[in-house]
Amino acid sequence: MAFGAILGAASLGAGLFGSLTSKTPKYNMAAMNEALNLINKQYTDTESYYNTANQAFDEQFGTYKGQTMQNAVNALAGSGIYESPVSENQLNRTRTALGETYAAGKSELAGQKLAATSAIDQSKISYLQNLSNLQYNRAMAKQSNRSSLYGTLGGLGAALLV
Amino acid sequence: MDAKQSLRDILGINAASKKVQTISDVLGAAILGGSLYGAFKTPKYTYSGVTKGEQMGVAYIRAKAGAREEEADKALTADLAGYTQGAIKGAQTGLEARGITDKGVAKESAATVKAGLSGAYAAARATLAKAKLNAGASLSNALTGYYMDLASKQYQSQLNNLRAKQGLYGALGGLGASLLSAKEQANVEQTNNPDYRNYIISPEDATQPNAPFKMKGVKDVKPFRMQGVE
Repeated sequence: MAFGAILGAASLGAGLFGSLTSKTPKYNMAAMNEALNLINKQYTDTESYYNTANQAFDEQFGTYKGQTMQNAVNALAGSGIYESPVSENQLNRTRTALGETYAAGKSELAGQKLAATSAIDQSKISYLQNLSNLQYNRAMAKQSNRSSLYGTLGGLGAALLV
Repeated sequence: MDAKQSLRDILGINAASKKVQTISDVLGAAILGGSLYGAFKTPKYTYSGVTKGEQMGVAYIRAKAGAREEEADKALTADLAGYTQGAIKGAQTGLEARGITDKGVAKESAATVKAGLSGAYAAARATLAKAKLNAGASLSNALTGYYMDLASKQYQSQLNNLRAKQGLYGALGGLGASLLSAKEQANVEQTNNPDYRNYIISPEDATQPNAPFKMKGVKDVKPFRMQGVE
């Protein structure tokens, strides 16, 4: 009789002790921070790549424009057309053609930047979603742990009372 | 073996003691009360409450994406305007170098340059608009997934809290039922085991009229017999 009572009390004590001391596992925040750092680095990198590409485009286009205009002047001169409204008209056409290249290049660059940042945005949303789920699951586990503890205590109290 | 019996065994007190009854009742009520209080006070988490920071993060990404599109639009407009101004200036400089300074001609020249560039600019804007649409659609897709998950988890957390409440009320109901049942059992036991001290004749004797009459408290005596007489 006494053995059963001691066994019961020991099991109950161990159960309560276990409930009180068991810790809700922590998720790997270091890995999550690492992921966030990588995502944020991608934003910075994209901005940096875009700025470099934009600057390079401006420089290269400037050189290309100068050469093209010079080539046009040379071609006109080669045809015996010097400093005339005709030559100006022809040069304007060259400027317009160059404008097409310039506009296409700029819009392409801007579009690529938007596509890249949008992809990073998606990664970050996915990251935040995962982090939310981890936090929520941890909160639920804590709640469940406490409920279990109070459930055990309640059972004991009821058994003693009845 | 029930909890009260265990308590008696552990405390080493006489099982029949009234003291044990009182101790177990008080202890049981205190533990039960404490646990119920604790269960009521256990915080009920909600998904939206736990993930406020992340929601703000997503809202920020959304706002930032909109701002980035505007920024790209403005940058392209500025670049194209800069190129147009350069082209017009170049044309006018060329005309002035040839001694053509008439304002009407300069205006005409500028209009020609603008008209020539308009097709290119329209194409550039279309390219950017397409990129914006693609980026926006991808982002919307990701956001839709996020908000669907958010809504689903919010509902799940409401269900969890409902389950916790139901469990609590269920436990209370069970306790009440057990208490009622225990009281009823005690009444039945009382009826089945009356205190014979109040009776001269036990109920068992009363139900067996042919049994020899026994007076309570009086020892059985052997019937008188004369020696030698059967």
